[in-house]
Amino acid sequence: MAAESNQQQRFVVEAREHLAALSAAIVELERGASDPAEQVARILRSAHSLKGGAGFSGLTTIERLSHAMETAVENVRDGRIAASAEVIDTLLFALDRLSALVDDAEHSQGADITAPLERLQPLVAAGEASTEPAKKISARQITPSQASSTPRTTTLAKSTAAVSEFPISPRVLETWERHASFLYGVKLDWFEAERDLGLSPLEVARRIERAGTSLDARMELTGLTLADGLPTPPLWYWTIVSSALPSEDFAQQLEIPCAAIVRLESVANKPQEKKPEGGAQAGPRGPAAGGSLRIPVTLIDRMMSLAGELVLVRNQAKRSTDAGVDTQRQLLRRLDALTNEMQDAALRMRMQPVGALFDRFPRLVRDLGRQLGKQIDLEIAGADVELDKTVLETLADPLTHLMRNCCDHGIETPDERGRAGKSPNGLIRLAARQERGQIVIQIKDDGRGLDRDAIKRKAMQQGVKQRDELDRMSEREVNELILLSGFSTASRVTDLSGRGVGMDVVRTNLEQIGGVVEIDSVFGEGATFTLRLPLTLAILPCLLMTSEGERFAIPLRDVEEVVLLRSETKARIECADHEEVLRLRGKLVPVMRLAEVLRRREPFSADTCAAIADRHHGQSAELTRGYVAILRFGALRFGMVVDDVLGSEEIVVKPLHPLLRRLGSYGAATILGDGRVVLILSCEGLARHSGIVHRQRREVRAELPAAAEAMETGALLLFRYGTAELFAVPLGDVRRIVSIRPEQIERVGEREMIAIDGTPTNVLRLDRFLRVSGFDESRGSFLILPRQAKAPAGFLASEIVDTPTLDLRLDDRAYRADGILGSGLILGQIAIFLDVFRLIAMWEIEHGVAPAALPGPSARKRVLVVEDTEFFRRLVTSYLAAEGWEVAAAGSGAEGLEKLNAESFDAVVSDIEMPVMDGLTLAREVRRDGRFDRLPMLALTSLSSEEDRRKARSAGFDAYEVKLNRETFLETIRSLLTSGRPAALVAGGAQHE
Amino acid sequence: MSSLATVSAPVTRTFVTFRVYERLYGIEVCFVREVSTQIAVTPVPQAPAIVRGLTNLRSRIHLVLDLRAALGFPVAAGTAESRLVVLQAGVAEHVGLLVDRGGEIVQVAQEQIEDAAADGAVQAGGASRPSAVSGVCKLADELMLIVDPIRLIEATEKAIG
Repeated sequence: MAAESNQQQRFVVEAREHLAALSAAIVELERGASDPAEQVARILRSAHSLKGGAGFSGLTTIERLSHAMETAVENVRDGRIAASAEVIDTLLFALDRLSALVDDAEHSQGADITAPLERLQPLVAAGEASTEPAKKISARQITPSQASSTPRTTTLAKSTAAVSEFPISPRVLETWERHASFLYGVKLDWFEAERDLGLSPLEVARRIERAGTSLDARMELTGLTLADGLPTPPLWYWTIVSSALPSEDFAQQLEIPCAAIVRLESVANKPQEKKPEGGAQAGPRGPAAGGSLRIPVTLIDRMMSLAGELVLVRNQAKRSTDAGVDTQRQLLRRLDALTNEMQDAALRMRMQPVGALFDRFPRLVRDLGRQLGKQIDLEIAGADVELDKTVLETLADPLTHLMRNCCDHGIETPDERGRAGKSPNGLIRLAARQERGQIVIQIKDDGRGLDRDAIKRKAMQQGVKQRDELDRMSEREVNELILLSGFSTASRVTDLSGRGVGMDVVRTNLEQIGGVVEIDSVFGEGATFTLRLPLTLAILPCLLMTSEGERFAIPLRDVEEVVLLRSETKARIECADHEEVLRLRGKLVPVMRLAEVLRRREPFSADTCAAIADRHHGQSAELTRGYVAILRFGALRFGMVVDDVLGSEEIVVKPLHPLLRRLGSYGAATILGDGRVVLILSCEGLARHSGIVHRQRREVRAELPAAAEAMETGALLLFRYGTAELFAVPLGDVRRIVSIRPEQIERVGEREMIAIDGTPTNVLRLDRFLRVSGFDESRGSFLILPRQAKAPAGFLASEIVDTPTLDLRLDDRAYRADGILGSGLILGQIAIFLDVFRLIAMWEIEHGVAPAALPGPSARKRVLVVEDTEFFRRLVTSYLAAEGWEVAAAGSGAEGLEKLNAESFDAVVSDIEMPVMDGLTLAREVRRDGRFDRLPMLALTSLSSEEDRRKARSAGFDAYEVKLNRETFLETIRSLLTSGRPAALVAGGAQHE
Repeated sequence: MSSLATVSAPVTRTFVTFRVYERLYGIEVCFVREVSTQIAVTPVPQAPAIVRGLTNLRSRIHLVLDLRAALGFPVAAGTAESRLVVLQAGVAEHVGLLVDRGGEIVQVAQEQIEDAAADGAVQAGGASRPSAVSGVCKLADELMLIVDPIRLIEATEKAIG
């Protein structure tokens, strides 16, 4: 029983593939394919395989219907009937019924198939009624092109043979010289040969031997007893013959017109795991190079999870390995490489070509076109791009919906197209491609496009957005409004797209698998829907964080950035109308607190939100500590307050326990390196539970003076060294990047050197200084040469990722070590900001390249750095410290002033745009105080206009540097420190204000 | 049933016993896969009290149900004596029951068992949710309450909503 249902399950899986192929081929045939014969052959192959599989699984109803289809198409192939629209319709009708039967294979046996059989009947009968006298030898199995050119005709060959009738024994395989000969199965009826052709068994044997070598033979002599007299016809004889002759010549040479011949190479070349029946192998597909095997998905999943475990063990090993010991490091590196490869292979096993899904669309588009009275062409590209099986399955519904949507709302009727000056045929392009670790699927139509004005009107009508919000939205943001639930701009609802399944389903389904939809459109010219999907699901980079002492993970793809809450500065949670919001670069982002969400079983009501907001803001907001992860759920951006952020990790996703699936807040779970279970939060679930999705006011731009919100940006070089980490250094610190070959690196004593333009240059390896993964040579080799190093030196890198200009926000919690400035979230990944000059100094000390003698304590100058952006504060501090100066840092003008009052300094370097007290105010305050008359002040800012320079001068700054050129900055500060404040300025103390 | 049959083949049932809130409970041995000392549990916020959390048992994530909560006793922190009674996959896949203390395996005759359905097992001393207790067994010196894991799973499903 179980075995039977297993077999049925296997059949259903296989049958769906055949059905998809059938559908694609039939539609292709109708469209007037350039190779109709091949399409017909494809149909026959699929129908035949379907029939075989159904028969083997005991599903006779499906077998009967597929048989009828096969026969009908045979008549098309043999030219007895034309592939008219009517015939195609009938075939499609039968195909639909067949699909339905397969979908419910278990109950297919009792199903009524008289309707499709009746419709197929005339097509099937066409063959029987045919007056054509000749049926070609073994036309059933030899491909159409071969069959039609077979010159022989005979009136007698009624017998047919199936590949499955010729089981191939290992002995046959041994004796068959596969490289020199073809393999044929020959089936004939002794009676027929003798009675109608006068061929004695001996003569038959002789002719067979003339055409080739018989390797195996079998006769059917069931129930033959002498008491019953002589055997009655037919008396079947099967033999397997190897022959160097191609099929036509073989048939000719054999000269036994009543024999049916089939080609067997493809079967013989298949691994012998094949089923005893089921003509899946009957097609003339060539033997697959390397062969293939059918493996249960459960086994693959097990393999995947084992590979996942291995990743965990590797992570644990990494943590416990002493990075100093060379042998251990090497072992670890190999373990690392092997694990990665194995994981990769395991992932690859789950991959399936996206074509399996695309195959259904030609039919869909054709049917929709007819129903809607439109002419629609479909172009498909990239059908061989592979996707994870689960991703592919989840993709089916949203993709189908989008295709429907294109046909229904996108493409216009021929009339409309004519009026718009377009060709009457609409065109939909469906394409898949791989792009930077993602699969991109694009549906592009040349239809009417999205009417953004209509979308906006509708949004206002439904109260989803306010006019001013809409005005600020980008085109794409407006387009994506159609993905909101209950949002439809179609003026009329057709039974196709308007079946209550909205575009929001597309988005939700995609989000389940970590995909996103982007919509671009030019009104009147068409629309493009771009789906971005992950290659696979099982391993997910996540951000780990804590709330109330428990760890939680959230997929990094949902995280836009992480903001450190600082009560004194700009990142602050505020309360607006009983809802909590975070002020982020001039926008108010709705915020929820993870602890509060997890504490409550019931989804939040407006009252709950208000109660939480009031509770947290009744007291002093100063107490608010922690981090806010900015998450994105579809078009919605919101913040989640957590206690701490632990860093990012690649984790192996395990399904949530079935009993817990109803708790929407979790997407899955995982086991971390320490063996503890950690829940993976669902961005969507949290948004829903906390009521953020329902909040009237979504993200709005805060109307606040820009000064308080000034954001520091800077150009960075992003690169990789090992497999795991992403590193960042300020681009300004980089002199040059050279592509090198690893074998050019020479070992000189303890050092590694490489000649760059004739200069021997030291090669610095990051894993020597920092606990980071080992060099990954497979990606490439580069040397990053910093602007200034006493001895020529460069950092080895495996990949130069990008040089973006980004907001610089550091978070020092995840990585903190000597030589590291901090870390920050860049492009959805944690990047480690390197302190280049500290690293070089570390290397110089290690290798005895004496750093310039530091001046004695008495001569040491003290510099105060006032800078609110942590990144720059650390960077400037590191620059100055590397020069041998003592540095103190302050985060705001007010703090700087405090420090100045308490300690003595030789110079001040200050940013201009800062919260609480900006740099200009600081300078004025300093200059107002007589004690600091001789204290040089340098403005270091990203403002660069003449007006800004003038303001700085008049406020009391002596020099002005734009962020951030290390050399000119150091030169200026050096001259300020040695020569002091320009005399003119000291004298002209009244210049300020 | 004829008395003859009873005599010729006395029906015995085997139970895995354990203690919850000092009371003796038993689950038929065929429902139990193992008794584990692994009780490091990750709580699942938003889940009802009966869900103690999740634990990692040989790389598989198991759901841990708190029998104290299930039987209506006050919930307490785990101790060194706490055990996880892991159910057979046939009952519920990857589910363990957290109990206060493990016990012996006992064999009892069918006649010693009384169905609890009729009187609702009110004797369970304050057990306000008797539905998981399917019977009472009179042992030599005390009563053993029989826990029906299937009812327990049903109750959990209901509690989760």
